[in-house]
Amino acid sequence: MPGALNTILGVNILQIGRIFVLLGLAVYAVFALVVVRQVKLMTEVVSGLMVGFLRLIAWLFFLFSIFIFIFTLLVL
Amino acid sequence: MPDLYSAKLNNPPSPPVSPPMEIKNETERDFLPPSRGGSLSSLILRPRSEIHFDTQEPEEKILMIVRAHWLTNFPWVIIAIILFLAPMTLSFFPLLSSFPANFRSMFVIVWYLVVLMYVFERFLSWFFNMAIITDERVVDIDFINLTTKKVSDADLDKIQDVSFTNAGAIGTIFNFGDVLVQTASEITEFNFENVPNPALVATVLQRLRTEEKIEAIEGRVR
Repeated sequence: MPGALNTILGVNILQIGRIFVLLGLAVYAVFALVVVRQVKLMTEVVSGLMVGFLRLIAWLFFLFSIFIFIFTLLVL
Repeated sequence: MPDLYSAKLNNPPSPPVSPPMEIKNETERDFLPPSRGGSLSSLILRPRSEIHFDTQEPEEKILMIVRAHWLTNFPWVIIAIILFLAPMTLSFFPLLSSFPANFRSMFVIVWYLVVLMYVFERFLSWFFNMAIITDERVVDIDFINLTTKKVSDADLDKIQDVSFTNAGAIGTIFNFGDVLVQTASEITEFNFENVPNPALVATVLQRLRTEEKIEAIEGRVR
């Protein structure tokens, strides 16, 4: 299928796919950063309820999204 | 020689003894059940002292923290499980078989990232959507989405009406429902949706309002 499309359009569909995946993952990483920020703000609004745990999860989430972005750069 | 007359000592008049300030402590509020509930509970009564909110006054005590009943998480948990298992069906329906192996792997990874985001967002939305009832006011915290939050509060003496509903079969079986608080403050209405034991929450609010009005009449307003 991608091969057929390549032939028809004369472009590398997989390369375009790669760019879109990377773009999506970059947006995802920004979104994960927003989550980190929002969790920080919310734990300041109400403190004492699993603050450390939620912040840790949010940071892990952000770091994981960065890792996946770099991993995709190398693999795709 | 004995004194024939001795003038009365002009002692300063003792100040009138005012009745002791009766700030009700937690044990006196017998309408409030004993302390219970952890960080993940839907109803936290008399929470431990390290729980605070940002606009809390130094003498203000949190009496109750209310979130939506845990059962309201059931739909998104089911959706998350289905989404989590969905890539496993690819072995039966090879939709991505025409793509190279690395693209197929990336599709699965990206899929799980999206599922992870969905789960985290829904959890945070449940966790931070809460109402805090203190001995002075009601604070409503709405975590609308990951980029929007809303915090509003009303003094207890501004509460005009408190009503509650137990709607639906599930709500009746598991005893959760909505508590509607109408106030005379800027935010005229607070709606605590799907809270556990709405009758208790409404009763506590009504009793606190009465207590606050008595305090106002007796001039014991903080």
